[in-house]
This record gives sequence, structure tokens and C-alpha cells, in this order.
Amino acid sequence: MPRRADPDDGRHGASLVSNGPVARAGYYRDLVVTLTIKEIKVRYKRTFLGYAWSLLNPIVYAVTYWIAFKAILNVRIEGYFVFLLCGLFPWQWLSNSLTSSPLAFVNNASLIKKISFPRYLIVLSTVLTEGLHFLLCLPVLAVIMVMFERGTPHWSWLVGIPILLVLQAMIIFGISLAIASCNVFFRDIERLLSLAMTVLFYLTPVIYEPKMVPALFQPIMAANPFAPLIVAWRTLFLDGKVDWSSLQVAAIAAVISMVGGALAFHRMQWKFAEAL
Amino acid sequence: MEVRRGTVSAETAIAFDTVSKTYSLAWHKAGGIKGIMLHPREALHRMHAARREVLHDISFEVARGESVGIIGRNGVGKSTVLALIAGVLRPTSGTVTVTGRVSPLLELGAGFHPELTGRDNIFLNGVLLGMRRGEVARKSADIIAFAELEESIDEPLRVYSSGMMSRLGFAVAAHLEPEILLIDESLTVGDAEFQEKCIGKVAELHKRGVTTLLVSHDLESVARLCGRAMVLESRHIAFSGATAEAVDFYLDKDR
Repeated sequence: MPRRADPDDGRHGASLVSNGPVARAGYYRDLVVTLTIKEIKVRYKRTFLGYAWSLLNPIVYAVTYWIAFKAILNVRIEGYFVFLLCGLFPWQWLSNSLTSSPLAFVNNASLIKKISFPRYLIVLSTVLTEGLHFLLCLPVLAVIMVMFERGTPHWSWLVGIPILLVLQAMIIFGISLAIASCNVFFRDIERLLSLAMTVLFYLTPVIYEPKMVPALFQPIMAANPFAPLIVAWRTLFLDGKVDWSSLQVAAIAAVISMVGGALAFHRMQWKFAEAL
Repeated sequence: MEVRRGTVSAETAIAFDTVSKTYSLAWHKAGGIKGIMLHPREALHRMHAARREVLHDISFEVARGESVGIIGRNGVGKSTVLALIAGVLRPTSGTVTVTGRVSPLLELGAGFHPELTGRDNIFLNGVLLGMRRGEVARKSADIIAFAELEESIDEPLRVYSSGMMSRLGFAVAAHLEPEILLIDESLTVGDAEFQEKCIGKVAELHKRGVTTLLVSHDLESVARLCGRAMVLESRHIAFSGATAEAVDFYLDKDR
């Protein structure tokens, strides 16, 4: 059967192997694996500490916030250091993925202009790389929790962690896809984003509890798709409970994010090669 | 919009049916978000006005196993034709039908990363071009041998010379086992000896029945490798026929 050129139909590279959907899925998996390995190898080239950086970052932030908000401003939260870490580790995944997303397509211009492959896999591999780092940080978080006697690893983690991993990956992937696509045409987004991430950080309950937020500002919490994620992670880590109501909200956010990202990407992807 | 074409002979590898391609220059002309927000009407107007047609109503067919050259001056749309076949671009109107696995030998080493070793880059490039990881693993020894890079394959790519990088890029692309090979100027890599090897490899693939499309300024390699050639000129095909005649036509036009 003659087929038309379309990066989505797998006529390109994938069909070098075979044309069936199973083989195509296998090829896409190889593509994601290869891109993810590349990301990880490139990131740690010429760094001494390597993986330790993804541990060190949140810990240094946690110490800093602890000094500012506990030691100086005397915030009333028990075990504030561990409390901070429980929010900062998932936040790092989120923040690193979103911050690098504007350049996902722009930095791969030579690929996009020359080779036909599903472009969204570039974004997916960034999200997965960061997710992998997050996962590798969890054992360390558990050790710190035990050390500080604030929460312990719990059976509920086996249920909660996989669900939250999937939901967070979906939320980040959808938003990243939309940002990456739009930034091909409007490079302003790149600048806007670093500002937005700072604002979002303080509007997301990472350094405080949602119940401390005055009623006037509660709608902002409700509109923030990252708030239920962070709350659910922390409830899981500190209380060993799966926070189903937050998960519901996060699931809705995940679906909206994926649909929005897919629509934006689908509308714009054919213009990438021309605009880059 | 594209119109699906009814029938294409099974012996046809590539068919262009009244294909036009217009590039929109809108994104560079609209002036970013600021331009759109401050002067929406003006920005929209400029976005609509800023279009450039590169191909106009082009139709041609390439039979399976044929070897066709595309010659023409810079900016007449040669690379656009290859990008349409590779599936990177979509035609503004008309239909592009491609039957068979395409190997886009468009830019050697697309996706190479300077910090990774030659071996890592073989995987990266090979998978991006359409190979499974297992396939790359099986062929990597052959690829390294073809590129003559046994000694430096585990060094990062940034220490490679540009010739070494091109050799690696060609070696990966040449081991893809495609049905349709698209070549864009990439035969002129490395030293004379390696160029000879590249041309030999392309000729060998062609002999095995691979359909080949070659875009080049190097009329000599077009003459050597292609049985037929097309001359592209200001948005349309000015000449199509035997390579020798096409070259004559092109050189005549140059005068």
C-alpha cells in the first residue's frame, strides 16, 4: 500500500523494521530509551558529583528555607526540614522538566528539519529523565525521614507512588509539550517561564500547608494543578496515607494537561520544520 | 490541502502529484508576542502577506530501483523536495506518495552530540534514523570498520575532526538498509579516498535495487550515480531526462 508522508504514521524510520503497530511501539520505546540515556549521559559529563546533584539541590534548598522560615520566621510546622524535602523532591522533577521544555524542539532543530520521527518523544524523554532522577532520590528521602524520625516508609507507598508517578508525568508531559510547541514560534515563552516558575513555586504548597492559606487565596490553590500533586506526595510520605481526594483533582488536571498539550502539539507540529 | 491520490503503480517508489510548497515567513515577521499584542492587525496582515512559494505544481514519478539526480541552483527547492519525501514537511497542496522505507541521508550526523563518545553517537543516530537498538548493536562493528574509526570510537565526539564526524555519519546512514535513499550533498565528505568509498557504497546499494535520489552540486557524482536527472528552476522542473542531457541543460542555463 502506498502511504503518505506523516511523522505519526511510522512510515519513516520505524518502518525500516516493520510496519505493524507492535513493531512501531517497540521502535518508539527504543527511541525513548535512547534519548533518555543520552540525556542522562550528557547531563553528567564533566561533572564530579553526577547523580548527587539531584540530591544536593533539594537538600540545599530545604536547609535554606528551614533557616528562613523556621529559624527566623518561626513557622509552626512539625519536622519542617523533612516536610520541606517531601515537597521539594517532587517539585524539582516538575520544575526541571518545565524549565527545560521550551528548548526541547528549538535545541533539536537539526533533527526536526532532517529526520521524520514523532517529535513528542523528545519532550517525553526529558520528563522521564527527570522522573528517573526523582525515583532515585526516594531511597535517600526515606533514610532522611527515618533519621529525623518524621514519618517512615509505609506499605501505602507501593500504591501511592506508582499512581502519583503516572499522574505527575502526565501533567508535566502535557504542559511541557504545549510549551515546547509554542516556544518554536514565540520565543518569549522561554523568558516568561522562568518568572512563572518562581511565582508558581510560592503559590504551590511546598513550603507551607494548604490549610494555612487565607480563604481569599484559596481559589488560587484550587486552580493550581501542581498543588494537589505536592499535597498528595507529602501526605503519602509523612502520614503513609494515599490522599484520594487530591489524587482525583490531580487526575483531572492530568487529563486536561494531556489533551491540551496534544492539541497544541498536533496543530503546530507540521510548522516546526519550517519555523526552526 | 492534500488530496489522496487514487492509484499509484506498485512499481512506483515516489510520486509527486501537482505538489506546491509555500513557506510561511509569518513567525519571523509577526514580531513575537509583543508584536501581536501591540499591533494585532498589522501583525496579522504581515503574517498573511509573508509567504514564499518554493515549489509550484510539480509532478514526477520515480520508479522502484531507479536512481535520479536533482540539480539546480541554490534556493530552487531541491532540499524541499527531499524533505517532502522524507516526511519532514507537508505539501501546501498536491500529494506526495512514498512507497517503501526511506532513509534520510540528509544531514550526516543529525543528532550527534559532541559530549558523547563515537559509540554512543552510533546508537543515538542509528535509532533516530530508524534502527532498533538491537540492530544497531549488531551492526556497530561494521559501522565502526566502515568509518575507519576503530581507534577513537570511545572518545567523545568533540575531539573528532569534521572529516571523522562525517565518516561516522555516513557509516551509520549507509547501514540502514533502506528501500529509498535520499542523499543531499553528503557524498562530498572526508578525503578523496573516503568520498570514493561513499560513492562505491551508494552504487552498491543502488545495484541491490535501492531507489536513490541524489541532490548535489557535484555534477560529476550525479553523472556517475544517476541514470536520470531533473533540473529544478524557479519553482518548477525545467528539464527531466537522461543525466548527460540534464547536465548540459543546466550548464547551458548557467551561461
